[in-house]
Amino acid sequence: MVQRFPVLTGAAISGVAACLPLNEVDNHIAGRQLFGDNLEGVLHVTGINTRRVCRLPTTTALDLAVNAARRLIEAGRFDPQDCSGVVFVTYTPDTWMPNNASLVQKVLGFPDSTAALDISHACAGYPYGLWVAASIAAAMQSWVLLLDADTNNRHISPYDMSTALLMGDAGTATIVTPDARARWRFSFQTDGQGRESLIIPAGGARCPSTTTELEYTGEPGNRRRGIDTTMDGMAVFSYVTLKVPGHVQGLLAADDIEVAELDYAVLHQPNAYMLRTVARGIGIGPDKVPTNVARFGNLSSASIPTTIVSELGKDVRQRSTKCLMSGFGGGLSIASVLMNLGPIVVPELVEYDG
Amino acid sequence: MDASDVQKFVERFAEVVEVSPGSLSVNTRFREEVPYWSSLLGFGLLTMIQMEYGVRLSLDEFMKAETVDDLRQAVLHCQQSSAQS
Repeated sequence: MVQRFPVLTGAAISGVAACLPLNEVDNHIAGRQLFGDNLEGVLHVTGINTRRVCRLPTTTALDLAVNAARRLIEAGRFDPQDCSGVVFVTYTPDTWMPNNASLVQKVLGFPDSTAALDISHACAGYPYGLWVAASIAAAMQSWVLLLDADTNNRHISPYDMSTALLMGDAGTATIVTPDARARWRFSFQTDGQGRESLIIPAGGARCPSTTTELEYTGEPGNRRRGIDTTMDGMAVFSYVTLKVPGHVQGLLAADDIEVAELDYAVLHQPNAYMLRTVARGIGIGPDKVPTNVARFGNLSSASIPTTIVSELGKDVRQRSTKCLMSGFGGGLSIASVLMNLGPIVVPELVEYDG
Repeated sequence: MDASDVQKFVERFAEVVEVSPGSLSVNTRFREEVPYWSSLLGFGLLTMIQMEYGVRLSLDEFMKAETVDDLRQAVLHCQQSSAQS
């Protein structure tokens, strides 16, 4: 298989912020009914003790992301009038049409010269967002706002053992600015053949949302609606743990970098066990793989920027670090980027009561 | 890699289920005796078997294995039948 390693120059990350719902769900309580005596065993392996879940059914990914963006723009004193683009990575947009990014232009008061687009992606979305945001920033020679957010729990059944206790909701904002010295190397991998392994089957154009799709069906422990996420755990697990290590090692080799030279590998965190398995496959020690999955759960594509804020803020505010970021999951897909990250603006984690 | 190396199989099994190799034996009934057993560890074992031994066990074959050695035998059996075909 050919693996490509495109280089992108001319833009760098200047700041990252994240906003989580204030409402915390304790899995040790929430999972009692569904898992019974197996609960502690399951939680020990997934490592997810608590999750942040939107309290209100009307809170959206956009609400969380905009709160993160406001804090970041203020903290870094970015001039809204200089914003040249908004990129919004999400699979839970406010509406099917128009896109989230156009609404953000209005809400944050960006000029009408702003380029605004959404990217539909799940766990691999952040590197894709960086790729597009950096391309725009370099071409426009002005800063771009990348938002990456999802209300994942909107599409999770509380009666489905394979997904019920995994996901958290989160919104993030990243600002990408022109920088002549910056040089990022990417790699992408797609296996559309495996799309059924992680999918929300109904609610799109192929299977419109009808009243039937809003009913819970299936055996006990495996009950969900058509508009809920359905996951073939074994298929996703084997794809990720078999493919990600080689993909990442290929990317490092393309830049002639040894694993030991990395300061951090900021990886998507589906659960603690998968994260450890992927890290072991890559050959990187756990001290270089920051994680917040125990507290916040699987945040889909927002997991990488949220981890930068909650785990690396102190360090990347101060210095430049050699960073690998890799997202993987729905698609099935993998997206990775290698860059120098820092020093950048990182406000403390924002919380949203909604 | 041939699954007839018992020691190596036990070591790999232990690494995947995150226990020390010394705490496992061929007779360990892993679903009852491995602390915090869960299906996620089962996914880990099946993936390790695919990567290290080059065979894909069916879920049925996996569920039939009760001890560490039952699983090794199932891998060996699968290797031998795929070598013949």
